[in-house]
Amino acid sequence: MPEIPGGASPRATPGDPMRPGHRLGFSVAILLLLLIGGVAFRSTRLLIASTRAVEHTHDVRRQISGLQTYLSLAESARRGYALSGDETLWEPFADIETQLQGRVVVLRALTRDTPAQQARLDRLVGLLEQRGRSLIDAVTERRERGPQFGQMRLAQRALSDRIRAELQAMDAFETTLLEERRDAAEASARTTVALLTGGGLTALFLLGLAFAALRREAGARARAEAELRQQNGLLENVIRSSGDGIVVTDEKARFVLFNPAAERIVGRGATDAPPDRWAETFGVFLPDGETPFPTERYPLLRSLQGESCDDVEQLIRNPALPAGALIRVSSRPLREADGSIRGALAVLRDVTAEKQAEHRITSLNRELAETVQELRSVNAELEAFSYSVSHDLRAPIRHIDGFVGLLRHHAEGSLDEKGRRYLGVIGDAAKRMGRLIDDLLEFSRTGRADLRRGSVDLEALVQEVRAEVQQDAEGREIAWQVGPLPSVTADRALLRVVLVNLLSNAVKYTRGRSPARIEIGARPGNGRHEVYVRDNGVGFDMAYAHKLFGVFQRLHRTEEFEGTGIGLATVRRVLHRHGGEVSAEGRPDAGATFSFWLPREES
Amino acid sequence: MNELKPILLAEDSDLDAELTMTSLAELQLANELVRVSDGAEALNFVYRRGAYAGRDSSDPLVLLLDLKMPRVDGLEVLKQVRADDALNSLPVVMVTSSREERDLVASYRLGANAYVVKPVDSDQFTKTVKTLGLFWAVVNATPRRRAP
Repeated sequence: MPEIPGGASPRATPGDPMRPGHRLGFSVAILLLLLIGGVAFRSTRLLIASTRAVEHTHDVRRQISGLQTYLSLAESARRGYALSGDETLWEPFADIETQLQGRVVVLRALTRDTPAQQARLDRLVGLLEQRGRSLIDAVTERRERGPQFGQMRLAQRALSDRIRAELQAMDAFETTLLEERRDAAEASARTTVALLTGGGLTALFLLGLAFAALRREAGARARAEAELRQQNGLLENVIRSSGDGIVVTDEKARFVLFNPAAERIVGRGATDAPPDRWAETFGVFLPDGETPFPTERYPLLRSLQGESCDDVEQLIRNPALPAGALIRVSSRPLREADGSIRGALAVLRDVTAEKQAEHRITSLNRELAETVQELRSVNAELEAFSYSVSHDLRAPIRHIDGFVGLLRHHAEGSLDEKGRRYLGVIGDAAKRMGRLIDDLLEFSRTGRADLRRGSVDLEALVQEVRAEVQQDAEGREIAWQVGPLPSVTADRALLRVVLVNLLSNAVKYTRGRSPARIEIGARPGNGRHEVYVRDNGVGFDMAYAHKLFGVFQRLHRTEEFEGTGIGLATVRRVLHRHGGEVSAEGRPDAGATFSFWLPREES
Repeated sequence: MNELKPILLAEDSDLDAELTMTSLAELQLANELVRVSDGAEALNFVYRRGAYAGRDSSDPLVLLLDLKMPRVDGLEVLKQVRADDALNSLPVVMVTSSREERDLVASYRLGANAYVVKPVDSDQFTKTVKTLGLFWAVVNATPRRRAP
């Protein structure tokens, strides 16, 4: 699974793709914006109210000024009328009382929310009524009594002043109010602007954060997707390139994957056919090649039931594979994370060649076993033959030899030189035959006899054999040198045969040397015991070394050195039976060294 | 000190028997040398029956038995002699051509005193027989027959 790169914040859960941190951030941002919005809204409303209030104040002042103007105009009209007596001058102001009342009403309405102004208005109403009446009275007086009348009395002037004062006070009040309200409006405006700016900046900031976060997420997602694509690409590549057939079905046994190798192995691609028609569609049989493959045993179907199948063999024969191919199928169920089965996967391998090779190997092995058996029995027969022959020849040879001896005794006097020589020849020949037979028998025995391994003290054995062999060298000067020799694990009797042969050979072939030197020693060897017998006798030519250990092979004529040519063959056989080996080195007239080694027994 | 007991040789080959007897004769022992041709005759001699009924000589000094004889072979004679309480301690030497391990084992298991392989070389043969004769007739001591 590719790791989705991200910060140290907690991972998103599969059901909720947003991280808790982001969620919190957004919530805070929204709250902030709402807050700012709310405050801005209120601020704006205040601003509007303030502005309206300012307007309102202007209205009041206008009304006040209007009233003042009206009063001035009314006075002017009176005066004009008073001077001219022109009715048209006073006519517009005839309804001055009504007008004043109306204006007061308006003012009252306008200053409804300012009790101070209402109080003034209350005072003003009285004054204005007086003034109105006084003006009308003045006019009426002029009209009725003539130009000398209708002058304003002083008291009226005071009244005017008072009215003016009140109006000015009202105006001043409104002005102050106006200033206050204007300040308030300005402050409100400033606040609003500030809030809006701040809010805007915050919003921008949060937007920036959100943008950064989103970008990071998007980047992470893009990376994850790229990795996934790469992985997918790799997987696709793997499946496409695989040499083994890969087949996948869904939980309804419909093929969803059938890679090129599978097509090659089976000889065709996927099918829509249901499982019970797979046998006829693909040509699937049991390995016998005849029985159609039973539907319930298909590894894919078994795996859909949860079973893991290994190495199920099927034979495929169809138009693309007319000769039939043996395939081996292994399958597994494919499970969801919760363990339910969502399909099955099978891997196919063509094992036709493998099977054939196996069969060949089996039949070759069988042949081999038979041959070995034959060889064994032939060997046994040969051994039995050579044994019984040798055995049965011994008696007659003994008789010849024995009776020649008796004859010699008996005919001591009556035999001449020639007769004695002839008898000698016969006797020697018989003796030679006897030795040959005995050697053959020994050679045969060393091959047949069971090995009785035990610990053998080589030094002691060598001394024993030396004593025996020494007898054949009576009178000769032999310098023996027996080095320290190890104890070995071997069959004592057979090892004795080896030493008898090697030592008697050494004695034999050093005839003529004075002194004869025979050295027996051991060499260090890892994992094995190495022993050598060295003599200073006639030696041999290394060119013929390979002949030394053959049966009946000799490197010297019988007249030079007697011998049967079996001794060394026997030695080699004994060593081989112990898992060891014997070898020889020599130079003509410069002696020979015979070495043998035995494996060191692990105890 | 021995009474003069006969030395019994059971050997089916006449020629081998002749060689053996000749060699033994060279020792010039005082003991009688008796040769039989098979195991049945050997037993007859030992039990004083058949052709040897009524022989008045003592029990044999030593039995020299060939292994391979017709009718009754050497091992059979050995077995019977060893089974008999009275003859149990009779020295028996197997003198045979066979070097087979199993013959060796069988002979010793049945209680042979010695096992000698006949050399093919006649000089050796003579020497061996003489050694045997000398040993059993002169060097070795044997118990008297136990009273029945």
